[in-house]
Amino acid sequence: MITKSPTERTPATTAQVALSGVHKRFGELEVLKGIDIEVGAGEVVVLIGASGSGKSTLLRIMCDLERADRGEVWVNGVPLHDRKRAPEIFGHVGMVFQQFNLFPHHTALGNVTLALRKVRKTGRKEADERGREALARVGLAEKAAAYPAQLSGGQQQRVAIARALAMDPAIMFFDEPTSALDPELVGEVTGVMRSLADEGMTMVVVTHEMRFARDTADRVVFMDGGVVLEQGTPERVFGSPTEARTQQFLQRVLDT
Amino acid sequence: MDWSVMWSNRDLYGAGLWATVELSVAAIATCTLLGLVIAAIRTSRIPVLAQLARCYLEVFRGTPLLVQMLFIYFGAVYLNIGNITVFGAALLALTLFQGAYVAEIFRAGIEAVPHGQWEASRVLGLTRAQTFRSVILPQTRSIVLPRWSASTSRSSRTPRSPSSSATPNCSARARPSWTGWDTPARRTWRSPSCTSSSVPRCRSSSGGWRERP
Ligand SMILES: Nc1ncnc2c1ncn2[C@@H]1O[C@H](COP(=O)(O)OP(=O)(O)O)[C@@H](O)[C@H]1O
Ligand SMILES: [Mg+2]
Repeated sequence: MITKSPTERTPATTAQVALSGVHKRFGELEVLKGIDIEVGAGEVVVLIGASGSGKSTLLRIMCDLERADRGEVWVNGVPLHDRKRAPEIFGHVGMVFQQFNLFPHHTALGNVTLALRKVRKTGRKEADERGREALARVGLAEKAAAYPAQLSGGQQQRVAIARALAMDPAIMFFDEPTSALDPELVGEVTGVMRSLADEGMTMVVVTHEMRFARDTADRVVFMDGGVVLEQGTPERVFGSPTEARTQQFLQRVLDT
Repeated sequence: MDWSVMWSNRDLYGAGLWATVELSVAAIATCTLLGLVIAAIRTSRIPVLAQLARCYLEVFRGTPLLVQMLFIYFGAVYLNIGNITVFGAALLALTLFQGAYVAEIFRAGIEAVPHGQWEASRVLGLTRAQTFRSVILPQTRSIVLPRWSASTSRSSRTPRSPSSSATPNCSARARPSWTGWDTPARRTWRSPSCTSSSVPRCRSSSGGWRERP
């Protein structure tokens, strides 16, 4: 699929994330039909769109859990469309999943320090220190010894965020981080995400929390049927959407 | 029956029992190791190796242990490969046979771990091998250990199957003790010999393996 030698080239922009002409299909189903997107350093981009519109697939391509069929994907200076160089991205971006995906057989601190110790080869003492700092950033310093099963959903998701933060990631990706949570636990997770945004973290967030998008996003991207239909500041997209599909979608999610 | 016959031959029984224990312990260790390696390969997506592991499983799960033992022993003798001992042939056969079952147990455990665990580890920068060892394998314990001990003790019933006159072969030193014995006494001894049952069965009934989380 890649015609010109990708290793020879550098991204056209200084953006942290730059996708151009990204296509992806699963069998017969064409999920992404030519996506162009850029995310600058420190920018917070929120992806919205109906279920099945390709948001998760796009996010997974950005952290190399899926590979694009066509197009270029630059993330943190790594060309993910180059099979050989793509693995360089691992350990340098953070991913937060809807289902947390914590390691159930490790304590909160164990979860947060595992990659430091195995990937970065950090000594136990230093890893524990950095792990505790990461847990403190998500307000869970006192839960270091707890196992995931002993924590609430909101706390588990915050541990998952701390686990990603401990690796000092250049970019954080979130795929519906609050969708598996009881409504009363959503606030503690979006609160942590907001403080990350305030600290200048580059973030790409898929969420149905429109309040979070309105308050925190620098840019809202509306996806529909595998393409970016509309994007702009939250005020612009929520206040005066130009596309009929966007209006319909917003009406649906804001009503419920 | 006449128990004094057994008592007067206690040395032979002792030797036979000891060979059985040795064989059991050795076979449990080797089949577990083999099973783990095969399961790791089988669940990997390494093209040719994964297929080979699959073939191994099909062959060794599809034929009876006794057939495999005889095949390996007489095959080795016939082809004059090394000078295989009866013990060696029995250990090899038990390992290959039981290894196939243990591999399937490990595979079931590995596949029961949600895929998200692999993905989270991958984004964090862990290699597949690191993920397997530090994340996946520890989570297979609750599934693998009960089945593992059940499987190693189940193997005791396999070689006992119909009129296995060759069963005594499994323990070379015990062989003399079978000649000229009446049937009940043979039955008594046939079951623990030639198996890898004794050790895990003791452990599982004491609960030592099952209660680990
Ligand atoms: N691994 C996969 N195999 C087959 N189809 C998939 C796979 N992942 C996603 N899809 C399909 O792709 C479409 C888009 O999925 P997704 O990116 O998860 O959308 P969203 O996150 O916006 O709901 C859906 O129809 C989904 O069923
Ligand atoms: Mg999704």
